[in-house]
Amino acid sequence: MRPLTTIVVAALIIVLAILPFVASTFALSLTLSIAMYAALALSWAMFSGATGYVALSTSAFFGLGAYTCAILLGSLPWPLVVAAGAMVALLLALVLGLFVLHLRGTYFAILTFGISELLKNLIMYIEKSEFGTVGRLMMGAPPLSVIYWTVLVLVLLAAALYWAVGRSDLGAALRAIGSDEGRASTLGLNVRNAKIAGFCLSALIPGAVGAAMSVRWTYIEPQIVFNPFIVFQTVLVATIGGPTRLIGPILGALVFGLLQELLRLNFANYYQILLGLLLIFSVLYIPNGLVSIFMKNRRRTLKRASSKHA
Amino acid sequence: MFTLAGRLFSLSPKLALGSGVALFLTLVLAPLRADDAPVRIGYSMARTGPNAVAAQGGVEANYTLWSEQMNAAGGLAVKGQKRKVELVGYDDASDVETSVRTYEKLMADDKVDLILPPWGSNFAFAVGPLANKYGYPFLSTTGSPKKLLDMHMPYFFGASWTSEQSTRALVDLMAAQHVKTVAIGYMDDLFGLERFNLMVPMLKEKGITVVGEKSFPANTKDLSVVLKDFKAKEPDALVGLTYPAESFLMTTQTKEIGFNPKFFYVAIGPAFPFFKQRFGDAAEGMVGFGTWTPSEGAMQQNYRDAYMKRFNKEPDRDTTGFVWSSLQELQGAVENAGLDRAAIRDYLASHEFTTMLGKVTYKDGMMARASGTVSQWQNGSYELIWPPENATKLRFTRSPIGNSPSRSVERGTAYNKGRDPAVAAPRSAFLRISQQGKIGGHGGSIRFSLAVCRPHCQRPADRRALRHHCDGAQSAIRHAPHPEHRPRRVPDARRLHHLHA
Amino acid sequence: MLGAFITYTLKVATGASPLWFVPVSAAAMFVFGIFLHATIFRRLSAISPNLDVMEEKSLIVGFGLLFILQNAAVLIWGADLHGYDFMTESLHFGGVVFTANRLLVLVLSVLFSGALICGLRFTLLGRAIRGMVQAPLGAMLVGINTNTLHPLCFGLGLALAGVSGSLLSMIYLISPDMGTPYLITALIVITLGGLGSLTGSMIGGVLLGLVETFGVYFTDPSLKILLSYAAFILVLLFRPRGLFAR
Repeated sequence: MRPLTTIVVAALIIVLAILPFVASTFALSLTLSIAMYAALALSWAMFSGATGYVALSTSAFFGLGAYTCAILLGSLPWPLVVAAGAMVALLLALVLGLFVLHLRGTYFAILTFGISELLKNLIMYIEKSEFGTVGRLMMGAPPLSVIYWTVLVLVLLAAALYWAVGRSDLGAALRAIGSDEGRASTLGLNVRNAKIAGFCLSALIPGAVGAAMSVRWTYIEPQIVFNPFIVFQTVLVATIGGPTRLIGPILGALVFGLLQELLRLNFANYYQILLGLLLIFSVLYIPNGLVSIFMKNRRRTLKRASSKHA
Repeated sequence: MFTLAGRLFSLSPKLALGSGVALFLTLVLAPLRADDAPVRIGYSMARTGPNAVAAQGGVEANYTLWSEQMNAAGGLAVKGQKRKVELVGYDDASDVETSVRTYEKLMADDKVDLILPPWGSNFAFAVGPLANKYGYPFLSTTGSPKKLLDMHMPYFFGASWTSEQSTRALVDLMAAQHVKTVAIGYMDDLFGLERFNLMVPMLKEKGITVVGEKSFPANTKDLSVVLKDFKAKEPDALVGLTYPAESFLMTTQTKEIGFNPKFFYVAIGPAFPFFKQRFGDAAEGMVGFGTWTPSEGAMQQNYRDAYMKRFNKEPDRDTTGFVWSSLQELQGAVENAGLDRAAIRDYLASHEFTTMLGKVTYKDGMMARASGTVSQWQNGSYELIWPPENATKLRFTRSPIGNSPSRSVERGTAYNKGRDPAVAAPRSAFLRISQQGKIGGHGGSIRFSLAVCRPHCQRPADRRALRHHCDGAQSAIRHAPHPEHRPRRVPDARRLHHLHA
Repeated sequence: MLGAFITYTLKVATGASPLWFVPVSAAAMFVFGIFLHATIFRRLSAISPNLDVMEEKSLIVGFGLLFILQNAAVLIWGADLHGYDFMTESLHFGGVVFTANRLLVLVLSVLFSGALICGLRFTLLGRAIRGMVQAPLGAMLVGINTNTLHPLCFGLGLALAGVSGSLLSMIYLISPDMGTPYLITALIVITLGGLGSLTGSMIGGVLLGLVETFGVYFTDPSLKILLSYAAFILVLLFRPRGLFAR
C-alpha cells in the first residue's frame, strides 16, 4: 500500500473507533448496520466472488451464530461468545462443504439457501419438543457502543481475511476454480480441499456478526435470525459494490445502506419501489459494480478528499 | 480505501451541521416550543414486507385517525392546553433491526415527545427495553408475551390481554359450554406454544380432555391430514391457536372434510370483517379473538363510523380495540400529567381509564383483569360473548337468539326438501336436528330447525337440558357407522345469554 | 437460467380473480413478460459474458422486481387480506372428499402443464424452443429467430405464473407477499427434477408433494419442510444434476 493510503486508512479506523463518543445514536446505529453488511458482504465476496459459486448460506451462518450467542450469553465473556458464534458457523460450513461443494451453479445456490430454512425448522422443532417453547431471551446484552466496536473489529477482520486470502495460494486456487474448475483440477490442484477451506473461512465472520448483532433484539427466534433477507441483502451489497475488489463490498454496503436509509426516511411509501428501480438500473448499467466507476476517478477523488480533510 | 474516506466525509459534516442546527434550535426556539409547537409522536411501522398486512389496517390506521381527530378538535389537551399532534412515522420494512434503529433515532436524537409501538411481539421485545431505557412509556398493543411481561420494565405496559388472560377466557367459555373434549391445532411459534402450554393445565383443571393436539409452522398450505385426525377423535370443540392464513385454512378445510365441531374457535381471523365476506354463512357461530363490537355503545359505534368514513372499510374487531384503547389511555394520561414522561408513566400505572375496552387499569405493567374476551359471529355480526362478568365491567352484547325463525324455517325446509326425511324415528328433537343438519349440509339450518321442533329451545340452551333429552341419541350418533352422521356444530355459544342473564 | 427466472416470475403471480380471469391474467402477464424482456433482460444477456453471470444478475434483478411489484401491489390494493368464496362446496368421489375449487385447480394445472409439455414436444414452435435452449447458436444457424423466440418464452413463463397465481387465489388468501413461500418450493421442485427438464419438474413436484403429505401423515406437520429439504439434499447428493438430468 502506498503511504498516503495507509495514513488515510489508519485515520479512518481511528475516526470510526471514536464514533460512539462523538456521533448521535442514530448515526452510530446506522454505521453499525452498514458495518454489519460490509462484514457479511466481504466474507461472501471472499469465497463467492473468487469462485463464482453463489453461496446463499449467509443467513444460516448468521442465525447459528445468533443462537450460539443466545445460549452462551451471560455464561462466557463477550469476546468469547462472539468467537463461539464464529466457531459454530465454521463447523456448519465444514459439514456443509463436505457434502454440497460437488454441486455447481444454481444447484449449489439453492441448496445452500435451503440449509438456512432447514436449520430454522430443525431448531424450531428441537426447541418445541425439548423445551416446549420457541425463541430465547437475551439478557445482559452489552451496550450499543460495545456491539459497535465488536462489529467494527469484525469488519476489519473480514477485510484482513479477504486481503490475506486474496494474496495466498488459497486465493489463487479459488480464482483458478472460478475461471475454470476442470482445468485447475487437471493441473493438479486439489479443488475439493481448496473449496472447503474457502467456504469454511467465509463462514467465520457471518457467525460472529450473527452473535454480535442479535443481542440488540432482546429476543430471538428462528424466524428472525434465519431470515432470507439477510443473505439477499448481502449478495446485493457485494454485487452492487463489485465482489472482486476489497473495497467493492465495503463501498456497496456504504452506498446501499445510506441510500436505503435516505429513501426510507424521506419517501415513506415509495422507497422500496425506488430501491428496486435503482437496483435494476445498477445491474444493467454498472455491471462490474460501483467499484468500477470509482476506480476510474479514484486518484482525483482521493486528492479532493485529502484536501478537504486537511 | 476511498470508501472509508467517503464514509468519514459523509458523516462528519452532517454530524457537525446536525449538532449545530440542534444547538441553534434549542437556544433560539426553545422558549417558543413549550406551548405552540405540536406534540411530536414517533413510531415505526411495517408499511412493507410480510407484516404490513396486519400492521396497516389494525394499527397504523388508528394512529392516523386518532391524530386527525385530535387535530380536528383543536389538538391534544396537555394539562388543559390544546396542542396539535404531529405523527413522525417511518417504515421499518418488517425488519427488527430497522425498527430498533428508527426508535433509537426517534428517542435519542429527535427526542420526540412520545412514542407509539410498532407491530408484532418480536418488535416489542426489541423496542420495549429500548423505550424503557430512554424512559418513554410504551403501550404494547400487538405484542405482550409472557416472557416480555416477566421482565417487569417500569415503562412497559402490556396494553392487550396477556396470553394467560385470553387463554383463560377461552377455557372458561368452553367449560361453561360443557365442552368435555377438545382438539387443538396451534402455531409452532411463541404465539401458539405459549398459549398452548398455558391452556393444557387450565383445561385439566376444568375437566376437559385434550383428545388431539398438533402444531404446525407458518405458511402451512394443507391441514387436511391434521384435521382428519382430529375429526376421527370426535372432539366437542376444535381450537386453532392460529394466524389469519391458518385460521382461514382450518375453517375451509374442516368444511371440506365435513368436520363440524360443536364449538369452533380460531384465534386470529374471525375478527376481520373480511372473514364474513369470505365464508358467508359458514362464518356463523365461529368463535375467535375479539375485543369490541359496535353494538356495545356509542363510543364503539362512533369509532367504527369514523374509521369507515376515513378508510372506507370496516375496522377489525380485535387489534383495533387494543390500539384505540391505548391511544385513549395515552390521551388521558397526557391530559392530566402533561408531557413529562415519568409523570405519564405514573399516571398510566395508577389510574383507571374508560376506553373502547371498558374500564382499564394496569397492575405490574399488565391489564388488571382475570380474563380476556372472546367473540363470535352471530347473525352476521361479530359479538362479544365472554366473559359474562369481569372486573373491568365491560359491557356485553348478547344478541337475541333465533330472532328470525321464519326465514330459518324456510331455509331448513328448503335444504331438506326431497331428501330422505329421517333416519329411523328420531327419539328427540336433538337427534332430528342433527340428522337434518347433516342432510342439509349447512350449519345454519340446525338452529332454526330447533326452533321449529321445540320452540322453547330457541332461547336457552342450557345444554344440560338438551342433553337430558337426547343423551341416548347422542351416543347413538357417536357410534354410528358413518362418521358424517354426527351432530353439526350446535351453536351452543349462542345460547349464552341465558347463562349471563 | 430457468431457475433464476422462475424466482421472480412466481412472485409476480399475485393475480386475483376467479375462473374467467385466468386467461386475462395469463395474457396480462404474457404482455408484461415481453415488456420486461425488452426493457431488462435483453440488455442483461447482452452485458453478461456467460450464463453463470447472467443467472446471478437475473437473480438480483428479480429481487429488484420483487421490491417494486410487492410495493406497487400494496399501494394499489392496500395492505389488506383479500379473498373470495368460490366453489367451496364439497364433492364426494368414492369416499374421498374434495372441494370443487381444489379439484378445479388440480384439473386446470394438470391441463396446463400437459399442454405445455405436449406443446414443447410436438409443435414446431416447441421444437424451436427446445433447440434454442440446448444450443442457441445452433438454433440460430438453422434459421430459428431467437430474437423473437426468447421474449416469447419469457412471456409464456410469466403467463403460466399468472395462471398459477389466479388459481391459487381461488383457494388461499391473497396478499402482496403471498408468492414468497412458493418461490423456494418452486426452486426445489425444479432442481429436484433437473434444470431444463419439464417432465422432470412435473415429476419432481409430484414427488415433493408425496414426500410432504406422507411425511406429515406419519410424523409431524412441523417436520414438513425438514422432510422436503432432506429429500432434496439426498437427491442432490446422489444425482447432482437432478433426478432427470440427461
